[in-house]
Amino acid sequence: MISDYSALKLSVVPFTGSHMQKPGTMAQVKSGLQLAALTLLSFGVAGLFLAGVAYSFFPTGHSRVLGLVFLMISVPVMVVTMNRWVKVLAGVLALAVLNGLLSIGTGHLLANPTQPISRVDAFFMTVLFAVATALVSTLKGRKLNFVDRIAVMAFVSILAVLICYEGARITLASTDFVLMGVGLCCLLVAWGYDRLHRRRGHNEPGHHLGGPAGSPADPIR
Amino acid sequence: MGVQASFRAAIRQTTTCGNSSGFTLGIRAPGQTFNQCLVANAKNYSAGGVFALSTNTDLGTGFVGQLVGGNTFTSLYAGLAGSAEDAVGVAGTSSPDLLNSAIGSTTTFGRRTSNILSLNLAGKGGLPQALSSSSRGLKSFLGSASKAFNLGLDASLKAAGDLGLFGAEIIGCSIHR
Repeated sequence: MISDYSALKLSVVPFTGSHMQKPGTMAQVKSGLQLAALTLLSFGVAGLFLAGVAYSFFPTGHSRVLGLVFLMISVPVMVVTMNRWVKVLAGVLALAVLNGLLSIGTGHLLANPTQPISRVDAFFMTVLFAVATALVSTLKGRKLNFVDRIAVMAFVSILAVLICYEGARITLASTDFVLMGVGLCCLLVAWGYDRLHRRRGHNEPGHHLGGPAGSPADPIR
Repeated sequence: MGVQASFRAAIRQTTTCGNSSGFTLGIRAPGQTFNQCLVANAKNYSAGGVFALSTNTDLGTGFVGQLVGGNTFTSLYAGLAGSAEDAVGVAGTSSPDLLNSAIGSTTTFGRRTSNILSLNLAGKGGLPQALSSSSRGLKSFLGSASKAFNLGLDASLKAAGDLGLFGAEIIGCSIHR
């Protein structure tokens, strides 16, 4: 009787290994290499874009045509793959906030103790980056529409212009804050448009689905 | 044997100290300490530094360029190697996560504890809590702060790149030029 009971228990309790198969070592290696290649590729495209902006619009001693070619290659790739890299952008901006906090804490340029900076300027720039992080992270949970894509591209372009305009300068000018503010306005427009669009969707007659954004019940998904 | 001899010659050339004509992995200058080398080269081992070197410009080395493309790990090291009070900014960013995980879920006790469901008795007033429910507000705030400071996996790709560059810098500074 006891042996029957234990046999029954063994037959009922599912064997974990049969349901979840662990991926093989080669599959894991392949996946890791793919991720590393994609990461390098995305950094390469970002560098191409930044170099394109620098060569085309700023005196760097390089050909402007080359800059335009860089932009013609990188911009379409960025627009098409935006749904993927916008998540990484939120992370990069979050790390920028962390770097800003480090700069405020140490009182010098990041990773350069010989260059002191104004902590007040660093604080305000960090706050702007924190707001940008919050706005970009709202884009992650939804499928990007046309307005989102334009806004994100405008923000990234302004950020590139800001980096190129600044060059090796360590003191922040008012133009830097204005440029960053314009970039934030672009993100705010996208955020506001999404909120408005979602509210209209909820107020439409016959709409009975009350799920949050990104959920299966969300009509704007 | 010929291949071995040429390989040895190449290795000898790369590891010869003070030989500026041969290729060497080392970046530490003669007379420079390991710490000095790490701090001096910290800005070069970042996305911004790589961009500046590859485009032969000084772009990415300014304040905003370093904020976006700077290496968090090398900066952290430079900050910590500077002075004790420089580390304050670092503690501020990591404390919400630490405190949040330390608070955890409220501990309950007695015969109506939430951990042992089979011993629960019916009664009014809910579970007797070891900590006051007022800590929920603080926990929620810390959760939000943690999310703001650390966007988890989203930042992991750049953080991994930064960590790799930091490792490369450590290797470079371990070897003399």
